[in-house]
Amino acid sequence: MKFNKVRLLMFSFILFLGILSGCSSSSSSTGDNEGSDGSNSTNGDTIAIGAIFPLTGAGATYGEMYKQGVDLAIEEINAAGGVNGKPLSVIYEDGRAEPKTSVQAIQTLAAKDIPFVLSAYTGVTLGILPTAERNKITVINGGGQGDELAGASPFLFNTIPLLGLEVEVLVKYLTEEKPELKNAYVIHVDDDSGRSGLNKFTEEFAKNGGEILGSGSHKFGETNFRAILTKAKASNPDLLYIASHGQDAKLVIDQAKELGIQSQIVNTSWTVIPEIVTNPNGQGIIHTSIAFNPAEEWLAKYKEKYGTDQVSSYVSNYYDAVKIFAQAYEYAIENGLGEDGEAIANAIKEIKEFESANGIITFNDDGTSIRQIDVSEIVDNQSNLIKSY
Amino acid sequence: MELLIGFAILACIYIILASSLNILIGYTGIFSMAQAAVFGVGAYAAALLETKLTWGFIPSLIGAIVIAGVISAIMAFPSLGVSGDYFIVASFGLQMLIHTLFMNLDGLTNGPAGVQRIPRPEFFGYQLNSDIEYLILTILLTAIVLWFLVGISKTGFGRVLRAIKEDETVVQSLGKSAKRSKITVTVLSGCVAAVAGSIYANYVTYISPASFTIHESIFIAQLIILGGLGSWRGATIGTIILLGLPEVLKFLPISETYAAPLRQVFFGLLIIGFMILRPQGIFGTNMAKKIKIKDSNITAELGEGEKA
Amino acid sequence: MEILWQLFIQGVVLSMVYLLIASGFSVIYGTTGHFHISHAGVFTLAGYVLYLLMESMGLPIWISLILAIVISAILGALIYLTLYRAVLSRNGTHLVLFIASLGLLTVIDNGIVAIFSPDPQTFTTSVEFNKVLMILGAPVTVIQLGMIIIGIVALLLLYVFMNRTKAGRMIKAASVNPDLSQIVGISLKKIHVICYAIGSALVAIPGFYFALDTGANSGKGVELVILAVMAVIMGGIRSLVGAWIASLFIGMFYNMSILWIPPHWQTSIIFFLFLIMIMVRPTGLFGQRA
Repeated sequence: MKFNKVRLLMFSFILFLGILSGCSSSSSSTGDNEGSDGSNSTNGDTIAIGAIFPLTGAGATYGEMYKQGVDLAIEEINAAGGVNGKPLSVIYEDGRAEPKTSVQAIQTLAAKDIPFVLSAYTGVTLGILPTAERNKITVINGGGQGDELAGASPFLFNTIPLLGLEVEVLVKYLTEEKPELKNAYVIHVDDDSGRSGLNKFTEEFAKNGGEILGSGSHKFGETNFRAILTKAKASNPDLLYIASHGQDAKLVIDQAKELGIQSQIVNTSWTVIPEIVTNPNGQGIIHTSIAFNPAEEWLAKYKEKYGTDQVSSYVSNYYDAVKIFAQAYEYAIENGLGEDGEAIANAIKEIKEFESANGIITFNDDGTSIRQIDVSEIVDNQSNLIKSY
Repeated sequence: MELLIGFAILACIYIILASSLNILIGYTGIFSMAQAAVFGVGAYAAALLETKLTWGFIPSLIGAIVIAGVISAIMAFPSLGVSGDYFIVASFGLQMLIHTLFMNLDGLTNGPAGVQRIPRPEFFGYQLNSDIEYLILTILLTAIVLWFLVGISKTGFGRVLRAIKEDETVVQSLGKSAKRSKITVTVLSGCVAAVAGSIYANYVTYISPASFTIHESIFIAQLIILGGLGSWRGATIGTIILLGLPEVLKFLPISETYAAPLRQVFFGLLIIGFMILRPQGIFGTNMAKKIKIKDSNITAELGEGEKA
Repeated sequence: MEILWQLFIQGVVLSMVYLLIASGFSVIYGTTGHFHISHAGVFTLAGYVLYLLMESMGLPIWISLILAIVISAILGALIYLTLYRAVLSRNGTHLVLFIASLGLLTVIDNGIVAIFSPDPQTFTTSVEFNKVLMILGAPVTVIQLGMIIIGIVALLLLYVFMNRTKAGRMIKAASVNPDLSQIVGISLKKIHVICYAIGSALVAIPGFYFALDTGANSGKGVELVILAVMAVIMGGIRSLVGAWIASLFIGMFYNMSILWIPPHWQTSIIFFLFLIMIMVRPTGLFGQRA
């Protein structure tokens, strides 16, 4: 008898589940305003966009930064009267930085007729593209830098320059200005972006007459790098290129100093997080970065909302992405292109040049963006510009 | 509507996966943590046959089944000599090993970037581009697989498997080779998982090593544990609940920053709750009771539990 | 030669991490037979407990360490007394207990993220403990050295406890034959509580090390624990010394093999060796046949 009761309970639970998934509402937020029920972008009172970010798991630290940028832009746009007179809202989906979960997420968004989705991570972005294309969803990536993203889809735009561009500039600077540094060791995270970094650096550095002494990989989220660093130290390289991001990069640098590695450490924009810049061990690192000189006004706004002026360029990448959407959407409507994802993609291609938090951003035909790349050195807890390319 | 179709396709894929693990855990009592790896082998095999050799959907599906079967057989040999908890760890190891191969056999698997642009199936020049068409194909395949598995469980072989779970030595004393049956069932399970892999690869049209991790293996195990070991309905209902749960939990009124980890917390609590209140799952009768790992300890503890 | 010595010293540090986790798991698993995967959860909790004591309450490090060990032991015992006993008393098998344990781990890891954010919580009061010492040219931090010393003391205490005290012998007896010990009047419940407390206290030590070294963070325990479980099986269940030898092997392998093996193959190779090992000798290095 008891068995039957449980079964009944379960059936009613499933029924409940079915009903819920039938009438799809969503957890959308319009900046600080709670509870807009805008599930449909085209005929609701709000315009909804989607964002597939890692909100749990190892990538959640970055997910938080991405969200800051998006929320800031939405708040600003809505304060100024919204997009085309309607308030803008965002639906966050937790992609956990996993392609599989993210593909599920974009299907959820596609079902809600969302025309525009923000994405991060190379693997995730590549994963969601086929679904995006089928459903005519425009995707802007502001986090993933794998070189495979160039020309991956007519629906993809990257507000972040791809890694290859940064590494090219880095090697160019090193061969021009630091010719005495002739050999290098590479430590990289074992994913597509880290391997992009390794391959591009090896290629460019060898082309310019440098020698790669060796390389070692680590898993994302690893905390002990002492073994690979000890091996790197033994080969006594002039340069140590660390193609790791976030907390990993910080720990690699800490442990490199702890083991007494004297080599010049170089990295790309992945270094520019407060944990490294204000870290005693981070001083003296030479790195490239996407020129990030946010206007005073923008910085002030950021500080007002989040209480700190330590801001990462990721925040602005996603801030820009939302602003680009808003501009493209209005452009598409004005010029009669329509208001679906394809129209937005076409609008972005036609406008081509956008104002951003941080200077002008120009899109290439393959969806990559041209931005000024800076080479800087970390001195006195600040990233000081040496040269711009 | 599209949301439901997408959900239904994924549910079918996971029902096949859960069933493939069910004949291992639920019927034969082999607890494998490497099911995602086998699933991945099937998905990669199908995807590579379609993209590199431009085979059609059906030939690739058959190819994937054969390849996954062979690899399962290779995996089965070293691991099935051990039993119980050892096998959990051994299969963990196999899972890691195969994942590393996905990551590092760059020439074949394209490393962490994965295989892109897997075509949707095409029959006689007609491509199944819409999800609803794909759903029909998926349901068809799922039905065939389930029909096949239920059929097998009713044969003499199925009875041998259940006997192995009850008591391996009895099976051997009756002159049946328990080891050979275990290898056969592992191969069978691998073949079934490959069907799911093939459907998955063609549905998502992109696969990468990140989709076939240990977390995925654990998830597949949870599906049948919740539904009930050794029960076909259980595998199905467990899948629908666990896949639907995150969607349902989104309706809880919590701020986004906390929502995502709290969803996982709720998920964990649900599993704990089930394990305490109804360990045999929703549909399992008392099958789960009969899995014996270290029986003496349990009886000893139970004796005490009743006294207290 | 210098690199070999440096890698060896790093190997000692990592080995100590595995030694402590594996010893803790061995004490629990050898006696109760529970596949306590939430051992990884206790590992994580220990780091956060230490963080709360030192950073939020401002207690000095020694008092914090002692308190945190005691709290971890209590947490471990509570997991057994509440969750596991509830599962077992309802006819749950060990498989069911394993799944429940996995569920608990999900709750712990994500609960911590919900409370503390996904960022690691770094210790600000422990700057002097990050100082680097040189042992014959091999750099070691104060925290690492501290963990090794505390770890050795803990392992010696464990060895003496298990082999030289009455309670230890009772645990051994109960692990070999629970039915018999029941008859001679040893309370299994008490013995299991003691095992969970000891095991959790042991896993807390590397938990502290990770927290002090790189910041308290969640989700770092599972892989460590799985490898430690492997060490326990390789060494032979119920053989503490066997688990120690296998742990030393794993810790050393990760560091020494870096000279010849690319890091991304290391874990797979260890698992591969494990598979061969259980094929050739299913009872492990020092295990007796049942």
